[in-house]
Amino acid sequence: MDRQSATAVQHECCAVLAGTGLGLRSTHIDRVLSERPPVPWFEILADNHTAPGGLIPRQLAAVRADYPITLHCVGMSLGGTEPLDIAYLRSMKRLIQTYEPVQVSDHLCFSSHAGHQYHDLLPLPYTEEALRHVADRIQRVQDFLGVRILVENVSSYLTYRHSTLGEAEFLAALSETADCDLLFDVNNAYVNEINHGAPAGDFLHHLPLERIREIHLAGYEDKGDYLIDAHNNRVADPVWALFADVARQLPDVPVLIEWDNDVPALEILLDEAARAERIRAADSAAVA
Amino acid sequence: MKLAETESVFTAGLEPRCSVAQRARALRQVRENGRIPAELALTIYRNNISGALIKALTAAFPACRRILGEACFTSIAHRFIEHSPSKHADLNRYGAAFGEFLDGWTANRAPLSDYRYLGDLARLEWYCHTAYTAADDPPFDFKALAAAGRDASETLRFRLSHSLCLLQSDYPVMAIRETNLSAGDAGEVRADKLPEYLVVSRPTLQPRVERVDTVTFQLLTACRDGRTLGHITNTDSPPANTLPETLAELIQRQWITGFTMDRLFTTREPADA
Repeated sequence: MDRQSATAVQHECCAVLAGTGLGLRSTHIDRVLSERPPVPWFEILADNHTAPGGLIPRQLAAVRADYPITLHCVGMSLGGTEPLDIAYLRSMKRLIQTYEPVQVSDHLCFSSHAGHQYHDLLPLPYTEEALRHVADRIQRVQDFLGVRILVENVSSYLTYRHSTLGEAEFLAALSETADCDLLFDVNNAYVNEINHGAPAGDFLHHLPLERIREIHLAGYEDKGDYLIDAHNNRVADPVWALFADVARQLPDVPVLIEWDNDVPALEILLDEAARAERIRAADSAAVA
Repeated sequence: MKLAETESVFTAGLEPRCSVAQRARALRQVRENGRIPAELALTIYRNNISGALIKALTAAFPACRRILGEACFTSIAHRFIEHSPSKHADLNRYGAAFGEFLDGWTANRAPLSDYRYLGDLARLEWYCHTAYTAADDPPFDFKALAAAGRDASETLRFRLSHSLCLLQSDYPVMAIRETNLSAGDAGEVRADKLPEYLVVSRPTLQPRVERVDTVTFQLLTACRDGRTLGHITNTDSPPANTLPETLAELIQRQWITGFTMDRLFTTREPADA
């Protein structure tokens, strides 16, 4: 897809997913369904919604009836070297066909190897060989699912000696080669800055901005010398500061508040979303 | 180093019982940066992986966890994870073998001899866990059953609800589960009648556990095992005169949700050929 087409698609998605959405968690579903809070859209953790029957698909259908949704996956293992997990992809395709999400995303990582599932986002070496491999895999996933996917930068706790590319450089080349889109997680970029010293502020300079179709914000856990991407806290001040810069460059790209562990009351998430909107509004006013 | 080799070396180093050589190889491919020593980085990933699996087990086995206490449950869960790594991308499917693991765990440890029911309790919890997400069942097709006719009994097999599981236990695990899921103190549980024959199903949206009599249990077991209606009739359990009534009740309870019939192909020479 050329730059002009990518920009057009980006605008289309931004129009449907206007504003700051929330990651929908099971503890909030009853309230969401009974109170219909003013959330512009919800992101669904796809892997938690593969149940063929029972309450979970009914709730998801009810949420979908009132809100646009996106699907966020963790099990495609886009960087894996085993054959693609077709059963997993089938279940994702079923979700896509049933709920018609505005967009579908997964991570730049591997999560399975030698028949074992790790249920974690394991880091890749950023090499030319890995780039070709992951790009080919993403193309096959997109062909199978029948949708373009967004690939998210991950937080990590190690880098490999034999990496020859930077993470942002790798993602930029990957999005062009695989013709996929990108999900920029500001918290992950900041966690990696602290953990590995790669300046998060430089990250966006390497990425094709027209391919970024979603921004994630989350809270980390401070371990003193390093940060854990725990998704168990409010967004930290340095991440808000980075976000302000990102929002200036991508004023219309949808933003998501992610909170997966020690999930608080819905009001806290709405408060975080309101803060993101205030920052975006302030930036828009400054530009105007 | 190629990508596949990188992943093999890294994941080998993540195994809880990896060798010194495997760990050293995994550490060698990590770029040291001063903030997170390579050994610590591996530990963080190892903890993330086991943390996700323990969270899944905790969600699936709440009564077992309450009985064992968090520390003991977590310790056993760690051993289970070493014994049974996750093989499925869907984390909700992790833990099917936990009951069997607990059988071995309690059989081989004298201090746990009073907890031999834990294997059955874990199976009961697992059945409830899977019933919650099982596929919905279509309504029973009474017209098709009527159309099948009386002669169909030799080839007719009843189909059970997707959510239905059967458990026979020598322990009062239904009461043990209920007691340990309630907010109050979990004390001693009296065994009224053993063995206990239990049916787990999801007739609405929440799983339900029900005690049944031996005859009903055997009938459901025969259906689950694919026995034909003719075979069930011949066993005379339940007695042939009460079988229609019993089957009607199981259909009404949404335990029997359909039926299949074999297509028969004769291989005999036609009489008038």
